Amino acid sequence: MTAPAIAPTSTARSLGGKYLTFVLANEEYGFEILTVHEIIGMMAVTTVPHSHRCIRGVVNLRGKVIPIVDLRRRFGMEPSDAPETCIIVLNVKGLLVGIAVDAVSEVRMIKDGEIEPPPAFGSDVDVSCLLGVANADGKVRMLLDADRVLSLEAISSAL
Amino acid sequence: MSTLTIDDAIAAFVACEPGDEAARRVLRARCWNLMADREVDSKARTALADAVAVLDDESNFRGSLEAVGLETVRQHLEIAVDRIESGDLTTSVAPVSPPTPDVAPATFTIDDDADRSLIEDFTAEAREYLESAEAALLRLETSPDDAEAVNDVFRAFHTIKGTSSFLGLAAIAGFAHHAEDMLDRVRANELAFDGIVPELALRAVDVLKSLVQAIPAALAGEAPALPSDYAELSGALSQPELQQIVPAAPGAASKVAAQVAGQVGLPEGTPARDPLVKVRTDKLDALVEMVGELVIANAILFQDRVVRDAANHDLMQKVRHADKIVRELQEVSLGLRMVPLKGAITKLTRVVRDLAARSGKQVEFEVSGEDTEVDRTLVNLLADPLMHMVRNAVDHGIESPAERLKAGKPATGTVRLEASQAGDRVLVKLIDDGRGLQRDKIVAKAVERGIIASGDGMSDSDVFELIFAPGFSTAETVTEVSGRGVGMDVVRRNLQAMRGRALITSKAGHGSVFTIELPLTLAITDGMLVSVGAERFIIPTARIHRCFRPEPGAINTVQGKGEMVQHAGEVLPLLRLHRALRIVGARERIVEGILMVVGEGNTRVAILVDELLGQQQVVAKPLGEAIGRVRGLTGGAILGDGRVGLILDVDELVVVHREAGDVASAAGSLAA
Repeated sequence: MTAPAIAPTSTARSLGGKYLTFVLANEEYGFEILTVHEIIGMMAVTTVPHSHRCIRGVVNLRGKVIPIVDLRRRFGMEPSDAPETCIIVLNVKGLLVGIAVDAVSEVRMIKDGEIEPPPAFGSDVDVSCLLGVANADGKVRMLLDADRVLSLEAISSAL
Repeated sequence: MSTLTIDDAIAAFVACEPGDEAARRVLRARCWNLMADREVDSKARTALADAVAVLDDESNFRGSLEAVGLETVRQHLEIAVDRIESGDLTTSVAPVSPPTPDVAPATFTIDDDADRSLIEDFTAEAREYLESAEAALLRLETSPDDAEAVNDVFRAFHTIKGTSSFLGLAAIAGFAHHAEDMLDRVRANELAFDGIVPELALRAVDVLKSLVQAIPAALAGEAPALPSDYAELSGALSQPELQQIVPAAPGAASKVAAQVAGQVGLPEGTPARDPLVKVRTDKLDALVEMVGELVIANAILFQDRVVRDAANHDLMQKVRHADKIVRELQEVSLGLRMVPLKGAITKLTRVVRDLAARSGKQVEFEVSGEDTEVDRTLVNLLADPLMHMVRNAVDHGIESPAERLKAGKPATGTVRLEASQAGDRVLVKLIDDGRGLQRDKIVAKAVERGIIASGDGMSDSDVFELIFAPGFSTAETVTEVSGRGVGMDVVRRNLQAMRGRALITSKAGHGSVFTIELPLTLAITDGMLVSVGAERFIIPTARIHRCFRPEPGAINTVQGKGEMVQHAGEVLPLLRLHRALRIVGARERIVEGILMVVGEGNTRVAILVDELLGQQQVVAKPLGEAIGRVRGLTGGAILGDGRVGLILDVDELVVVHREAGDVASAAGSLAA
């Protein structure tokens, strides 16, 4: 698995490639396809008392207990009334972590030239979690750095 | 074990490779079981008892003595075999004394009633030994003083001799005997490893190889001819000093050497079969875990309404059948990880001796039941608590010889460790005949450390429980032997982490008994499923003392202590689980809920839950790093409906609860 560069603006590596794009709060985001383990339907989540508020709870992934991260809370957004429909299971450094999203869109080839560095401000999303912003077909997609989104330190310092 | 026969013991002996302690333990267990079998001939049982005695004495197997030890065992076994099979002239056991070369048969035959599977095992084993002997001989060519290499060669010849004579392979046994003799003399420095000797050794390996290779043919009833230089070499090996012979098959030895050097395997034949397989422990753990899942999935299926419906009798039958197989599979798979407790116990003997010597005490350490098997992970985890308890027994329990004599006891104190299995639990008892726990001293120390205000009104067992209290024993008890200053509270916590418990009984002047109780395995937890609001939790059954529905008026609020529940003459602090875990929608009225008494001694509390949903076996799983460690939770488990249920660590909940001082604020400090 290719680990995304830690520094989001790193130019050492081409960011072009296949991304799994999904919708969260009417915005479109993408994870590098290589970090995606699988997509599962929404299922009953068991809340874990006293866990971090970004953690929605845990689910049973074929006998494995995996945590589910609430991306809205992670990015400090308002909770939504519309229920999420899918869980994207990411494999980050060998650990499986689920992310509840509103909907999964597509697997999309995004060329290097379509990706711009993350804006310094003006984004809902913590900039340090962004690999870049893809601008294609008149749509803006925020490409997320799975490592950063799910890193414990980043989660703790986010709130 | 009732179907165990002497053949099983022989098989175990065959599997006993030098340095393989586990195989030796299997051998011991089989000998012991046979010895205990009343249907076995009494003389044979005596011989088996001798074999067990030899096996029990570790000193028989230390280093190079191992070969001697095994040989002694073999001799006892042989007597047993003779007795058991006496009257049967076609016994598969060959006479111990090898045939002398001049009467050696010209062909290689195997008795019809020889145990084929054992001989096949031996074939594979012998090949390995011959290969290592060859390699060692080649090492000796460059460094003739390599004693370890000489030992390797000796071991190979010796083992082949012993086993083949067992199996009635007289031709091999006889020849290997001569080869062994020669190497033995080299070992004893009676014979220098130079001149003709290396050549003879290599040729002996060669001959043995061709003999081993001829085994399948001999088994098939053919009578393959013995190698041409069999007789001649047998004689030469007996008296290498007199030999000036030119190799009968010129270059034989160097051919062998070339073969080994070129890493060429043995000539084609049946593929080697290993009686033992090394498996990575993580694979084994994964297997055991998967089987655990299967057991639970099966239990869910078994309890399904459709299956249990009387109309579906056929389906029920099938599910029942599958259930039986799954249970057997569970037993087998758990057995894979089982190892004797011995690993955790052996080093204690040394600890006792050193401690006793240092403190000028005379202590005898007795061990029984060290063959009791528990899950491998538990043996490792048990080592520290055992060490601590043994140290305590010698340091604090046993008195000085003078003191003992004055008390009318023998000068030598006894510390006895008894391990046994009771149902699905393992009991390890440490019994000393020392002075016993001293109530007054414990009370004084507990008061000094601020654990209790006074010992008035406390029962003896309550007082003894104090030594498990956090902060009672401190790091000042560090000794060089254990190297760590863990207190008894840590011992208890470690044991609780293994879902075990530690108990003490003691009688002043007569000594103390510390009991450790552990589950046989950590793979599967028996749990009680409880509901709190819309959430469900699992509480390990082993931690629950009792459950009851409280009477109205049983609850009192005590100033500074929070809510207390009165039940069966006991007053316990109340822990409302929904408050501790911040769950809304749970039953607030005590009389509508259920109280569960958990914890040990003075840490007992009553936990309030909404309902008991029933018992269930679960496989505990970590919650994942993203969640981190949450105090009061051990992990998660998949429940019958596929959802994850959280497993509560009640003892930690209680600790958190106590730290918080009262129940209402327990919730705040629970957050990790």
